[in-house]
Amino acid sequence: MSTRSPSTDALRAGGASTVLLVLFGIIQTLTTMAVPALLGAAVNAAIHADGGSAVVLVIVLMVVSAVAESLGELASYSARVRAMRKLRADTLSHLFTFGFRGQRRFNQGDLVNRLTDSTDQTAQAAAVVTSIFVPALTSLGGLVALFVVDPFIGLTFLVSVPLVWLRLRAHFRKLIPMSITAAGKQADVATGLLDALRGMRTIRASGTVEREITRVLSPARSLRTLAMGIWRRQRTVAWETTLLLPVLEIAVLAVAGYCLTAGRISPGELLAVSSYLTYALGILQQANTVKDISEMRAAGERVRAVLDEPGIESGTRPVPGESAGITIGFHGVGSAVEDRWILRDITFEVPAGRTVALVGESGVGKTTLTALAGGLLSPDEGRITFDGVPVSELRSDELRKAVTYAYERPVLLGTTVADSLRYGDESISDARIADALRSSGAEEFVARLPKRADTEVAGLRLSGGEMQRLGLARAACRGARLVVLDDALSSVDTATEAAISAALQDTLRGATRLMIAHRASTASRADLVVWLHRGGVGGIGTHRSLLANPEYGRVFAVEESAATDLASEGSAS
Amino acid sequence: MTTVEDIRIDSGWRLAADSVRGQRGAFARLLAWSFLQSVPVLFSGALVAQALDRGFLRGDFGTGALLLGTYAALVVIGGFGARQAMEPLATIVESMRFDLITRTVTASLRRAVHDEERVDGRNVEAATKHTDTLRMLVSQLLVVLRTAVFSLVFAIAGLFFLAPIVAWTAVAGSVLVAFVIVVTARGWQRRVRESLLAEERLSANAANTLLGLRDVIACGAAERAERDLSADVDTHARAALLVGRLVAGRVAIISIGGRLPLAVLLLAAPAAVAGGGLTPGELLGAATYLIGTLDPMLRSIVRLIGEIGLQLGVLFGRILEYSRPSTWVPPELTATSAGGALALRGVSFGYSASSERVLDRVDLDVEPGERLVVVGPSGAGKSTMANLLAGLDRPQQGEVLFGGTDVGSLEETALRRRLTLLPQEAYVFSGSVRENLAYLNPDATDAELESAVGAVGADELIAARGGIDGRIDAPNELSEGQKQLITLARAYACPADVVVLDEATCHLHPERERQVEEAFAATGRTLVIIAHRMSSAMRADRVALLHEGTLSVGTHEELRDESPLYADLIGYWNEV
Repeated sequence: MSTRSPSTDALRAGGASTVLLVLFGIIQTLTTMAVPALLGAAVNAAIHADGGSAVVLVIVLMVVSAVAESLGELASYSARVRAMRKLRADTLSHLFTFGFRGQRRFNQGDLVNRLTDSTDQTAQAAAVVTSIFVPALTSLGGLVALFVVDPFIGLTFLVSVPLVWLRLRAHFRKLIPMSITAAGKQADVATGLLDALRGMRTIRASGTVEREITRVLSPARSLRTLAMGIWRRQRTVAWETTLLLPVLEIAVLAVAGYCLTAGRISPGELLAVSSYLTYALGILQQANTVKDISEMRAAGERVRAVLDEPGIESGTRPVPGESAGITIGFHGVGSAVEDRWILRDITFEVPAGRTVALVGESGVGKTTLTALAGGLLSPDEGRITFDGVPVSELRSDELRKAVTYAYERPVLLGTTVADSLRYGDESISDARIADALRSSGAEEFVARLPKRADTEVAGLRLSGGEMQRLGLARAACRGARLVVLDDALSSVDTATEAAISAALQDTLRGATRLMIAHRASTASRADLVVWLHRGGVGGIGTHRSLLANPEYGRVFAVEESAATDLASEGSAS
Repeated sequence: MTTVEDIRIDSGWRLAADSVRGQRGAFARLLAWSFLQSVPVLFSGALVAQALDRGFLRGDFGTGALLLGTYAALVVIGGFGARQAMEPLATIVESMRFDLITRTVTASLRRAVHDEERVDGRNVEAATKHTDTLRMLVSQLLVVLRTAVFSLVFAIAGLFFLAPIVAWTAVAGSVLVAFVIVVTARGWQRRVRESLLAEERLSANAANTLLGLRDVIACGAAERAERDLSADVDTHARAALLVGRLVAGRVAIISIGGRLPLAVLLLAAPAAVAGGGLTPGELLGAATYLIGTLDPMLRSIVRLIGEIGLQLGVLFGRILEYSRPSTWVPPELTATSAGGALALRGVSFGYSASSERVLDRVDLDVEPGERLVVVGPSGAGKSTMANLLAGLDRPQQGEVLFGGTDVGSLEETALRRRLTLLPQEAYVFSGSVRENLAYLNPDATDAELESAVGAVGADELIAARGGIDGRIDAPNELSEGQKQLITLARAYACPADVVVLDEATCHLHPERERQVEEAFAATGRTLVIIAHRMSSAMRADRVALLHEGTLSVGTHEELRDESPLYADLIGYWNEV
């Protein structure tokens, strides 16, 4: 992974465009600087009724400057777009290697923002840099030019400018806290509205929507009052600026006029002075640049955090064995989060083609174990083997084909229902899809959809149970050798679950199954139960044999399951 | 999801006009003061010309300085105009923002409640972030536009006075620029819109795919997902580049248009000065108009119309979408009902015509004062059933009866006073403790509120907030359990005959949950509890088991012996 900052990457990704942008920026600055002097010369020549080469030169320069400005604009767009595309491509290709940890570290909305907005902001590096340096150089050049024309003129400017600057700064200092208060009021409206949207069911059930509208809007009134205050302050600033800036301008021009009278400068130079003066005054308008740079850097950091998140590393060995199932072994496996062990000393083996149920109270690490089993999380100690070969040595692409997951709340991706099932493996036949739908108990409701399996997924309103069955079908149709069912049938009743389990037996054709079981009936159907208890294995055996331990039985019992919620009441969410 | 495609930029502008309609007076004042503000421009070149010809070039510093001083005085007068223009500008812009926030918030909440639209963070963004951006853009637009137009006219007028031929080229240059803007406007709009559309499509697809990031990786579909999203990234990049090309082309033409008059002036000057048609001062004065006003003003107008104008149109269009009024028309209902009886008669409900029915011809009778607990596997539709019972959802078939009357025919305010549903997501808002507790019963006395607080065991919590007169300023700092306690006290203090608790105690300690359920039952009100924990079922008068669209109703013992699913849910394990 790159250790450079994404902003530097962005500058590089812009490639030739970045170079051109800088080049045109320099040309533009140079021509901008040269035009007033040449213009002055041309005017002088004209006054002496002399056509002269200065006129031709100044026109040529103006054309060059216009062309440079235009091409600079093009280069700026092109640099930004190239950089954006590169950063987004890098982010995308890295995102999908995320394992269990990476997936949990970023929430989805935040990740979308990093992929789209942050990359865009970072990609503006070249444009931001030139948009800062070109005006800054021009201002500086303007100041130098004033001195070159006549040191007196330059000095007049230099003496007056700090006065104006100090006055403006004093105003901005007062404006900032006012703006912060106003921003706070605006945030209050946002918070109030978001809260109300979250409490929508209460508001509907209480018939209090009009009251809520008044409540949410009440900070908007203070926002208006505050904002008017800010405008009044700005009015004072504008007024003082109008009084101060002309004084500065006139002072400089008067000195220039004096120099003209005294014969120190020519009329053309007086014209040049007024242009250079405008350039030099540009320095007062550079207040936003620091903000621009820091925003760009912050965006770059956000992109970098994604790129620096370690993905799953691929091994080099092929997934061993030919059989339909995999023999999966856990050998002294431990997994920790920030120095705290979630699981420790997990050792068990599941022969190929068997079904193993994971049982344990919530928070005991069942999901972590399923992630370890499929190579989505590397163990912090011990090793996990497929047919005797450590999972960490296996090739990622083969591993992802060998193992598949069905979740409690699956997210369907792709275009149509059928496409969402074969998502990522276009070779899956229609017959396999139909078979998977049937054995997952999804055949009936899919048949009722407007275009059956060809119905678009977007806009489909399905119940939790229907979603689960499609998620199950997606796992079932892939011909994986280890199928992990992460609470994948929680929304169907016991009888249906048993029927689906039996039908799946057929479709999965001897694949090894690892499932999280919350119901006793689910556990009882498994060949083997791994009972997770207090961070380790509490026992391994059949459901019936484990029932001998009363603590195991309590996992399923009513009163005790409530005890796991004990902690949640006191702590803030 | 709304995309730029649905957004009509024209109708966005209509919203803008609508929103500032009441501000005619402010606009008139703005115009008048802006006129005064631009007056110095009219004299700028002329005074420079005079200062040179009569003063500095003749070696008369005093006259030159005096004329420059006159200009300075004019600038101060112009500055006064600018100062005065600020007030109407602020009034226009701030009233517009307030109007837009009000529209968006009102419409969003009404749509969410009445039309059951899924109103989300984008509405909040529209109400706050977008309105703020609009305020900034509109003020920029007004600030630049009001001065630029007058300044251009004044600069050209001044030029006519000094050097008519140059004035004509200035007019020609301005017309050229205007022509380029008009000709490229459509293509420009189309390209920017295409670029925005491509960006929205990328965001939407990325949001969807990343929501299923876990699924993508688990399916081994990284390649497919990356390919799909990369295509969106590329489409957007291509669209953005096309915009860039157009911008570059416009910049070139506009900078030529702005400088053309200067070139003409310089080319014509030697002959004119020699022939006495143009004094050196007039030459400099004309150059001052061109360099100081014409070129920069043309640029800012173009930048404004090109960038800000379109951005404004898009933003207004978006706010128009999010401030779309609710289509709901309140039915004229007068029927009222009381008593604690609730009933379902042949009720069927499904999310859509094709999806499985959550309830399929279900019958149920809840007696007044009864405690009924509804259980079922997750996703079975228990919350839907609560919504139907409370009259928040309407069944596709059958009737929901409250006190013997169809819930759909009852007058809303009266119904809400007699029947309360408390959802799992506790709604506590920032405000006083009293406002929060009396939310469902604004007439409640302090004694009533205090007894409610005591009944659900929220005494300590409320005392820590300073009692009933205290404040809750940051509801999000409360734990979910604390919020539930507050809403439970609120429900306890309401005058309803029927209370539906939809997992409203799920974040409480089981013992506290028991206490709350007993407290509600002791009031003699009808209590329907959607159970989070099976322990609630054991305390019920009757239990209703919901699965696959049907209800099995009976006592805890009856269900345990008759329903394998129920036995499974309570962990009651006999034999396989």
